[in-house]
Amino acid sequence: MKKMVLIALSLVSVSAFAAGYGSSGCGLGSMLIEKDNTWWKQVLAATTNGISGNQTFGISSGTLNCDSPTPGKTAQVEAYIEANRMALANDIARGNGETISGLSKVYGCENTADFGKALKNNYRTIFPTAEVTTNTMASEITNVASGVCSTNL
Amino acid sequence: MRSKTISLMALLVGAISFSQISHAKEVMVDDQLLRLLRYHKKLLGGYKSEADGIDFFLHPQGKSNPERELQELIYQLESDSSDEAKSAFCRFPARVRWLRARGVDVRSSLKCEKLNEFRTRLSALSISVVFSSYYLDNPSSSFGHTFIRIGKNKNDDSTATELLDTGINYGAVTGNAGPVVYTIGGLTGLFPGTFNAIPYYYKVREYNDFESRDLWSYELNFSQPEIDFIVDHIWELGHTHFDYYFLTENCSYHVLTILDAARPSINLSRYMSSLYVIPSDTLKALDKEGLISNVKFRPSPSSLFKYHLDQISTHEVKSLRTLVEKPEKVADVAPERQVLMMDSALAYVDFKYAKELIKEEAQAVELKKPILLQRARLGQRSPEANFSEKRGQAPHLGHGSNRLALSYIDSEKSRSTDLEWRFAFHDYLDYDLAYPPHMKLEVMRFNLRSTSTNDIELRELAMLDVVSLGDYNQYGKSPSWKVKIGQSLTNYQNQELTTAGMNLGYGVAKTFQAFTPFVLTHLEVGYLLEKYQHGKLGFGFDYGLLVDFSAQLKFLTQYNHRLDHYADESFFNEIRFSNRHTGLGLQYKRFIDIDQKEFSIRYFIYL
Repeated sequence: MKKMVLIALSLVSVSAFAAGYGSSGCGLGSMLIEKDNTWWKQVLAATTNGISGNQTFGISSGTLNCDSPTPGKTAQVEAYIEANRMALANDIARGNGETISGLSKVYGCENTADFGKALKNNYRTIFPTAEVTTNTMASEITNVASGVCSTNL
Repeated sequence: MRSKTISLMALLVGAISFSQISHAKEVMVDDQLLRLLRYHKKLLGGYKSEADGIDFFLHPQGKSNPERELQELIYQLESDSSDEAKSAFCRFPARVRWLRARGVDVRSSLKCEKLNEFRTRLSALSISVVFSSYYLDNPSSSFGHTFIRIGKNKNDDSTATELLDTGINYGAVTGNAGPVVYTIGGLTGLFPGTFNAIPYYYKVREYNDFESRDLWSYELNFSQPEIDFIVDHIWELGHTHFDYYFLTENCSYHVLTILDAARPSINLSRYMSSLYVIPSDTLKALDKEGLISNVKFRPSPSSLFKYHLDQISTHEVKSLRTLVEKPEKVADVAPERQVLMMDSALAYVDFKYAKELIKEEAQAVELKKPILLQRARLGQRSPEANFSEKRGQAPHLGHGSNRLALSYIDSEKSRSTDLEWRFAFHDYLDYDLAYPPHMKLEVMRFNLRSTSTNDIELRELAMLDVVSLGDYNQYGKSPSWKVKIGQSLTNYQNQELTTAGMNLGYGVAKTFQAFTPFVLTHLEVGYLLEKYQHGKLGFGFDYGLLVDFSAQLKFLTQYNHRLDHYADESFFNEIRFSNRHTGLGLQYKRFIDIDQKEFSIRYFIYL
C-alpha cells in the first residue's frame, strides 16, 4: 500500500520543471539542449514540480546564460536576438511587434516605429538563409539600427 | 505571537567599523521578521525556519532561534565585515529595511556593488505572478507552474515591453539523479531548491513557444516601497536554498511566502493546505487577499492559431494549407485579406512546429522561410490580436479543486448513501471555465457507502485517475489516453470484490461542436484482494460520448466493453450541472454481467 501511495504521488505534478542552464552559449537553444530528455525524466517530470537537471544558474551570478556576470551591450543584443530569433523573424516580416519594441529598448533606440519599418525593408539581408548565424543577424540589425535610431551604439 | 524584547543598549558600546547603528527604542521580533526568515511555530513550542542554507542565518542557532538571530544581526551590523560578500549590510538588505522601518538608523560606508548591480538589473517598478498553464499532453505541466515577473515598467504603462522584465523562478537542483532517487527525493525534500533570475523573454520562449502553454500575468497592487523590499528580499533568498518538496514547499508556495513577507497585513500561505499546494489555488489566494490589479493573457502558439481560425471564414480555412505550401498563391487572395491570411499561415506553422522551430530543425525552418518572405513583401500592418475576452476565463476563476459529493443511490437490491471526497483537481463533467477542456485529472478520490444494513464500505480509493481526450483533426493529431491507479470494487462471478492495481489505455477522440465521441483501449493489471487473492488481467475498450452543452452543463455516456473472463462490463451515464461552488448530477449505471442497475442523484460542493 505504501508503495502504491508513493507511485501515485510521484505521478502528481504540481508544476513544471525549470530549465537547466549550461555554461556555454547564451541562447535559448543552449538552454533547451541542456534539458534532460531521458524517457523516465519525461514521465517523472509529471511528479516533479520544478525539479530539473543541472541548474547552475543562481541569482547572484548574472543575467544571462553566459559566463559573464554583466554582459555588455553587444552581448545583450546577441543574447536577445538568439533567444527571440523565431518571434523576431515573425515581427520583422510584419514590421512591428513586441520583440521589435524589446530590441529597440535594448539598443536604446528612440523611434521604434521607424526601426520596425527599416527592419522589415531589410528582411532579406537580415535573414538571407535559414542557417544565418546570430552574429551575422546581429550585425545586420545593428547596421539598420545605426541608420534609424538616434542613439549611440 | 511570542515576542521578546531585546535591549540594544548593551550592544551599542562596541566599536563601530563600517556600519553605524542607532535607535530610539527597543526592537523586537515581530510577525514580519518571522516571515522574512521563514520561521514557523513548532508543534511543541519554539520556532524553526524553512530555509535550509546556513548562509541564510547569521547566528549558528539562527534556524531555530529568532531572538538570537535578531541580536546577531544587530551585532554584525555594528561590527560589519569590510568584505561585501560577508557583510550583513550587503547580504540582508530586506532585514536592514525592516530595522529601519522600526526606527533603527542603520548606516554603512559599504557600496554593496553586487546588490546594486542586481537592483539595477531588475529596475523594478511592478510585480506580477505569472501562471504557466496546464497542458496535459505534456506530463511536466499538468498542474501548471508559477513564478514572479519583476517589471521594469509600471503596470499601467502602455509602452511597457514585458520581454525585458526579469523572471524569478524557484526550482530544484537534481543533478544526475536516477529515477528512483529522483522520485523519492522530490517527495522527501532531498533536492535543494534555489531561486534564479533570468530575462523574462527566456521564460516566454520556453513555456509559451516551446511548450505551447498560455501565460497569465497577474499584476499585483504592491507599492513602490513594497516592490523595493521584495527585490531586496529576493536578493537574500538568492544566497540560500530550501529543501524542495514538490507537493508542499514547491515553486508556487515560495512565491506566496515572498509576497507575505513584504506585506504583513496579508496572509496568502494560510489558504494553502499542509498536504499539497496547487499553483492555480495560489492564484485564488491572490484574489482573496485583493492583490490583483490586472490579469494579462499571453497566447501560446496553439491559442494564437485558434484565434486566427476564428478570424477567417471556413472557405479561407480551406485555402490555408495551399498558402502554407505555396505562399506565392497569396496573389489570388483579395488584397484586404492578404495580411490576415499570411499571418494565419504563420500562426499555423508556429503552432504545428513549435518545438522544431525553436530547435531550428531544417525542415520546419525551410517550410516557414518562404511564408515569412511573402509576408515581408506585404506592406500593411497586422491588426492587433485581441484577447480581452480571455480575462473572463483566467485560471483563478475556476471551481475549487477539492470536491465533496453526496449521492443517494437506488439500485434494484438496495438503497444507500455515498460520500465521496476528491482532493484535486477536475473532471470533464465539472464546470470547465479556466480548466483545460475534455480532461479529467483526479488525485486521491475516495468513496464510502453507507448501505441499508448500516455497514460502511470503502468502494473506491483512487490515487490517480486521469483521462485526457485529445482532438484528432486536420491541424493536429493529439492522442487520448487514460491512467488510473488505486483500488475499487469490481465484478467477478456475481460478486463485488475489492481489486487493487492500475489500468491504462490509449485512443482517439474527435470534437464536432459540442460532441466529443471517443474510443480508448483498456488494459488492467490488478490483484483481487478478497476471496480469491490472485492477479487479474483485464482488457477491452471504452466507447464514449461527451457532450458540452455549456461550461456548466455536461453529459457523458460511456460503454466499457470487456473481453476478458472477469465479466466487468458496464454502461455509465451522467448529466451534471455545476458552477464554481456547487453542482447537481443524475447518474445511471448498469453492470452488464450481473445485470444490475443503479440510479443516483449526486450533489457536489467544490471547495
